[in-house]
Amino acid sequence: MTRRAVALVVIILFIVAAFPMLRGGGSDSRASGVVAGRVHETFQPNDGKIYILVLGSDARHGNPQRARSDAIHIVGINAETMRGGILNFPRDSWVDIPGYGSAKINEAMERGGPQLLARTLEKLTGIRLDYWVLTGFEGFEGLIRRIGNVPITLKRDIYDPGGSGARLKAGRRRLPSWRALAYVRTRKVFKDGDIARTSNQARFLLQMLKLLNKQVERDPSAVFKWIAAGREFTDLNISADELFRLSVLATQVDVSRIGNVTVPVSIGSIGASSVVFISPRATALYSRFREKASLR
Amino acid sequence: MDGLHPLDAPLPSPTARKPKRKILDISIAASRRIWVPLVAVVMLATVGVAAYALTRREGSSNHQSGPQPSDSPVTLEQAPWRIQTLATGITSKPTKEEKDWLRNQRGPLTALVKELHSALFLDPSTRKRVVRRLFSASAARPFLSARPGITVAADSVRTLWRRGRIGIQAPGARRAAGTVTVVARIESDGETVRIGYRSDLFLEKKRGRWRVVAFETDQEPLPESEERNKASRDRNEKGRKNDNKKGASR
Repeated sequence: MTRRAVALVVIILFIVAAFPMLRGGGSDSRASGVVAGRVHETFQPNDGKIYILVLGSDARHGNPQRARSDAIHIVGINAETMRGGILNFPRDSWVDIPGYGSAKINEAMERGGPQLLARTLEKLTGIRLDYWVLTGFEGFEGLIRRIGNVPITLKRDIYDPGGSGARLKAGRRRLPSWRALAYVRTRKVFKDGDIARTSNQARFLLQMLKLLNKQVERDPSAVFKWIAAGREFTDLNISADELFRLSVLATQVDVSRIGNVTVPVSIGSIGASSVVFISPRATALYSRFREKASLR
Repeated sequence: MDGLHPLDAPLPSPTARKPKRKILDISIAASRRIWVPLVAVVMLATVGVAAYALTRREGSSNHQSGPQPSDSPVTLEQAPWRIQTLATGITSKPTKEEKDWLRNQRGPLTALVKELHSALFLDPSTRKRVVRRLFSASAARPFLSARPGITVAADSVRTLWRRGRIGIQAPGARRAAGTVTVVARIESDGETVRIGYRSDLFLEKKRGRWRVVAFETDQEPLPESEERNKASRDRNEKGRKNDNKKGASR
């Protein structure tokens, strides 16, 4: 019995050692299958939808979380279809803030920080928000200084010396930080005031995304410059890993596949303050955005 | 955040590893324990000598001139790798520990790039295995279906250009991103094709191992230099003819 076992071990040893030799040795450089021409494939982290609440606070200095939000956008990306959308909310939108009753949407952040604003929007739209990103005046300028001037095409001259301080000529411009801030703050010179402003803010976000894609196409490690700027100048509740993956996902999305839509509203007043009422037509918009994370 | 989040690339858990199996469970009498290893050593030595002799014979056959048998790969001189690694996303001056840590990541990242592209271009039979090992599960699937590298039956493959540039995220050095470009000349059934390849790789370090978690790859046939020269000659000739026509009309 023992002898047989020993013999078996020796035979197995022999076979294991000699197998590559019996096969002919070396590696085979011939591959199976045929492919020709151009190959282009984009990585999708997983099938699914991601929603990010992007907020701009009106805090000049100090903690941007304890101020009102002048910019409120839900950015959705569908990692499966690689489409997306930016849903914009005018800051004067009259909504129900959980625990506080009806008020202007921008008051939610002052009362309970970005979390309360996120809860307000979740209740309004039925969309489960994954992340929020918040920046103030200083943070926004610092971010642009770090990532570089953002190119944008202005359809008309924007001149608002008494308000935002914008002095921008129509045409293709590369906006440095202070001009970019003036552009996204300008409201008074537009006929529909805050509604035009929120749409312009979303346009600027899309231009930033375009710039990221361009820089990453040239050098993929440029994504770390953006991450570093994001961590330095914005308030994020996103882990380093998630931020990296989110940034990589952002580099893969074609900007032309991201819709920019402002919720339909009507202008009105409550007491002495002017507000905007979100139209019941917005319900269909929320439902589409919730379903596809895309507005295009 | 219930369930599987879209950003969560599935990574194999350590528990997924197969436990070591005993092939044979045998007991050997104490008196036999001396000659058993001896026999095994002798057998292994025989196998080793035979393998060495066979390798020598194969090696010498590769240096023969003339057409090669189609199933034996031709050993060609390959372009040297030039891989540059650098720290990116620096917000403050890195400490000495951070610098050392960054420096230590260069070797594994460079090795990953070399291994991946050797599998894609020089040893495609290992492509699947290598990609599955070096990529996250969700990135491996689309990468393999994109079929970059050499996927045709080739008589010989020669890389003419192999470059890489990898940026390592400075704080923490757990993420990296870079571009790899390869130009290769493939001979197949008497035809020569030159291909240009570029991959943007996004990497993460998890459980002490670097893995590609996202990528963008692009590959296309390049015109051969002769074709390029011919095209350029044609263009010049056409230009000259147009100039002559203009001169004649004046």
